[in-house]
Amino acid sequence: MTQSGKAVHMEVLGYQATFNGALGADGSHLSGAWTMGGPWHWTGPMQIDLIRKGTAQ
Amino acid sequence: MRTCTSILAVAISCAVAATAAGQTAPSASARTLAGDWEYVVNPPLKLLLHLHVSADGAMSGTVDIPGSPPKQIALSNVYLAGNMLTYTMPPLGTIHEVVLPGGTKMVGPYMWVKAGSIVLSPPFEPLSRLAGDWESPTIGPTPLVLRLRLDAKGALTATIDVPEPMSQRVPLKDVAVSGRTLTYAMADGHTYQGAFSTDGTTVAATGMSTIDAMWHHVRTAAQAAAREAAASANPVNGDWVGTGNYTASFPGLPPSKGTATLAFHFRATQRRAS
Repeated sequence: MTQSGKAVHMEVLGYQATFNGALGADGSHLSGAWTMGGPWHWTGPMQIDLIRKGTAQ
Repeated sequence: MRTCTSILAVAISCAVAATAAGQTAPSASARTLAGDWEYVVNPPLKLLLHLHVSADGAMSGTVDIPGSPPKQIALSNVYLAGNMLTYTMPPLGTIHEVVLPGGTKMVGPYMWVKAGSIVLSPPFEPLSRLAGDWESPTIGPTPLVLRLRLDAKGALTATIDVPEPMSQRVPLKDVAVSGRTLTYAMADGHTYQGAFSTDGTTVAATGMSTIDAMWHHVRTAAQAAAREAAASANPVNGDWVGTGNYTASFPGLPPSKGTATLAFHFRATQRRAS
């Protein structure tokens, strides 16, 4: 997982899954696209808007 | 058995010596022995001795032995004479235990300690100096982090941060520093017992520990607090949940649509310098 400013990139090893998103201006939304590769793959990126549920402890 | 016999002999010798010097220890009372006693066989396995005293002063007891299935052995001929507790435990036969002054420990084949009576020695360093972050290497690039902290009452608390892919903060219980020994317990019953190095910067697991870890003191409490403050300032850290729609494809099968819910848990970690 890497972060550059408000841009977030993440890869899930072993699942050929990636996420590319950006933190919203209000800090409570993380919007981006999730892709899944491999034999059972997603035909295109899944657009997703994640909502903050808690802060790191 | 040789060790136990030797310890018993030493204990009896000490008792005789104390009596000869005019320092007669008060005899144990059967009623003060009533209750639960533990003998740690191989942590976390332990035997439990339950001693009962009836209204007329008669003693009885049972011993719980862990295993599959666990067993409970009824004792017979349980009595206290002076500071010597005697009982018969099948199939071993008659067993003698010397009750030490204070009435919370027995010396004999089983070295019983009264449950909840463990006495801690003062820590070799003030707890405020031991608080902070301690790291233990893992097979990955990010170490485990033992977070020793002092609560508002000055008591020691601890958690362990497990790095990705687990990314969990594991609470610990029974956290204590006694002399140069650090102990804590996991929720699953495993216990850690570690010995501090001479300079107090590392803790190595002892043979009594069921968890193998070598901890290195990497941050003081103040440094850890500053680092956590910086981490919490990162706007991405935290827990996130969202749902989206996807179309999946598998060779030979028609595409299928579905809904997926993703949960991200971002935490600050510190990678080792390479």
